[in-house]
Amino acid sequence: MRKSSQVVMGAISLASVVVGFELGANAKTSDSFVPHPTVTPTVDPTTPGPKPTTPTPKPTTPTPKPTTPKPTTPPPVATVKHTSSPVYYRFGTVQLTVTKQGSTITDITLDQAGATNGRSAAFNYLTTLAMQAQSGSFDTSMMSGATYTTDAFMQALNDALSQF
Amino acid sequence: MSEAKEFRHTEFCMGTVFRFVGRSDLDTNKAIEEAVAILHEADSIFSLYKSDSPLSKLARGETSVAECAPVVSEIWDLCEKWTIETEGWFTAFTSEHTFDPSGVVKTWAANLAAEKLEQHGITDFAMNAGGDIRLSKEITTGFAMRIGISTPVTIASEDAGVLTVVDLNESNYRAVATSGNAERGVHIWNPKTNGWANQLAQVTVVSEDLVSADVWATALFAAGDQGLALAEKHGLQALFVDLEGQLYSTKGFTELLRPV
Repeated sequence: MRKSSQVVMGAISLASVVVGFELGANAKTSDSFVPHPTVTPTVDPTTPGPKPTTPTPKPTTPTPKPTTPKPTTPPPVATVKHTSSPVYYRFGTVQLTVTKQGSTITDITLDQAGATNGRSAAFNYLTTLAMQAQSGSFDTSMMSGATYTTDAFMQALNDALSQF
Repeated sequence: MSEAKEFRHTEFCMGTVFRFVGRSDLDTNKAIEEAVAILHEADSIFSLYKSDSPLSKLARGETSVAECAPVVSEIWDLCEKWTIETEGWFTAFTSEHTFDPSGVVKTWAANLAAEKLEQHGITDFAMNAGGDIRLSKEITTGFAMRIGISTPVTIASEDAGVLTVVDLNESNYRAVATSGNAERGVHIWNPKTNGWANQLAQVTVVSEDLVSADVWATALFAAGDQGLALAEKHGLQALFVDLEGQLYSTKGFTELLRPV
């Protein structure tokens, strides 16, 4: 196996970039392909709704008591976890668990990230990438270059996401 | 025009990932279903990992090209054409003289899949076929026309990331393909030396056509230190990364490069 070659910088910057993977069907439509983070609009459900504070005249007609204000806020967004099937590939196995709050991925944990020749380090890198919903200067689904490890990771991620 | 919606689809096929990202005001589900069916059909015929595929039978001498589906003959001819076109630097024949057209089949099928979307009126999308990119012919979304190129190292390396970005806005190029040894190990055959190609780390080619980009990336990689001259002779636009990490590119390619 060839030793990893250092890329010597010429005119081309090899700055490490902040990039994000597209994270599936819940991404909001935007003017570009930038996978915007999906922010679930939530109002703190613990905030009490408007309660009448001044005593109202006694009802002469039986009206429903305003003691239980109708919820004006959506119910609390549930946190849900799903674990992918193990994905076996050329260099090992990857299995991960995705935690979502509403439509937002809040955590990805690696249950198995076995890979030979130190390739397992890739998974932490990929997890970080996948968590970052905002892309850099290009859509990260459109990367040219062959990547077995990425494919296995994406397959596991896709499998976990498909269970939500 | 009604409001265009973003669509994204990921398909696992041929041991790799195909990804479609685009915008359309049409219902894209049926088109994508038909497009990925093309990929799976090609895989079922041409896979050498499936022992009962026509190509596996052909490799074992259990059948002939004439007995196979006409598409096998079509691919055979396509490979021969590319061998001539690349002055012999691309070949679909292994060292054991068996026919392995996998260097062409992936992008050939991917291109048909992309054409299927276009036939359905989906005009604004990008497709990543296992690291080879094809933009729709009438793509309008400038952002998707900026393509990242991986560093020529395994993704597990500290240097894994984005080497550079090519911007296909204001160009006629619609395809980007990269060949290298970073993830799959040494796997590109040099038909001229009858050995594995090992002089370069990575080659990226941009082209109007996906198959052309893919075949040339493989051929230029095989050509090693003769690759740059070969690219210039054929009017190609290519970026080379050598084993020391030095970058070389044709003039036209340099003009497409953008900071990451």
